[in-house]
Amino acid sequence: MKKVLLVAVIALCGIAAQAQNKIFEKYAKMEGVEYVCINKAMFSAGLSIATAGQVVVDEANTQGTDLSKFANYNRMLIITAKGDKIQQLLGDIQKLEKEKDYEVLMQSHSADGNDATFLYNENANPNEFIICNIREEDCSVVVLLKDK
Amino acid sequence: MTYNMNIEQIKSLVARFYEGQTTLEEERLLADFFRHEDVPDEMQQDKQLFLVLAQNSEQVMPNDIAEEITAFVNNLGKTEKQPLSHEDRQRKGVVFHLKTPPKMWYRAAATLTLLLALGGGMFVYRHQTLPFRDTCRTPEEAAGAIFYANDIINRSTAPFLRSTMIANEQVNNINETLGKIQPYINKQLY
Repeated sequence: MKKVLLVAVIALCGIAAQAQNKIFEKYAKMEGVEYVCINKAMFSAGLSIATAGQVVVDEANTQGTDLSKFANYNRMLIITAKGDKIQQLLGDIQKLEKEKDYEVLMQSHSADGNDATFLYNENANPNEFIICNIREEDCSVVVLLKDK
Repeated sequence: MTYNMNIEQIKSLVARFYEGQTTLEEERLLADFFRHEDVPDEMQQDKQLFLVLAQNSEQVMPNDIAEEITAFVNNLGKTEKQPLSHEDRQRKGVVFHLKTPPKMWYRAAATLTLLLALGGGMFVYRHQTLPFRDTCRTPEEAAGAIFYANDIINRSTAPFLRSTMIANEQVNNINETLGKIQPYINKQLY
């Protein structure tokens, strides 16, 4: 019986490790946070019409915008936090760096207070590329996902 | 067997039986009558009753049944009223005891089932393609979000691009300067 329990605990640890990918899910219904999630089919359809220039966003001319960077991915999350939620979001990004084996590809700090961090985890499934951008008034995180 | 009593006498006896006034001998007479004689239609129900009673009277009751029932009732009273001792309470906590340990293959089957269930759960968890719920209802909304993400990424990469441009300019300046001094260097060398 002890052996069975030991095996069960080990298996559950594996499941818990997999659950690390869902670190951003809690922001879905959080107040003060803008949360956008686009899954495969919708991402593909959205990217198609965006690339074709059939969409006008905030009356800005989006024709000719280079969207090739999205071609390698098939899902996306955008989380924009404001106010006191910024620290929570930054805390989660730091967790990914320290505990979840994410590699920091680039980091920048500019004079206008625009900071950016690029994270990547090639061992994760789906492959995750995370861009965290911090300005004075908000913190935006873009998570691009690609199923292996 | 012949009975000297007529039907009217039998009816009178039955009436006395229902009133509880018959003797054992009279009741035995009634039972024999209903068991062996032709019974008029109006007494068929009485016949059924007497046959059932006669059947039950043939069952032998144990002599000590009264004592057993009394002891059982007394014990019931004790268990309801007497508080449980500490040991009894501890024992009461154990819900289920196996008299013999399960066989090896039972354990193996239980382990295998548990592992299969966990493995199946992990497989589904890993391969679920939609871990997050879609928030965009139309492709236009999705396209808008993609442009928004594009803006964030461009904003994030802007410092790197600026740095790259500055570095390129510096390299070009160095190359230009090198190009200007190259003839003098060549003269000195050759």
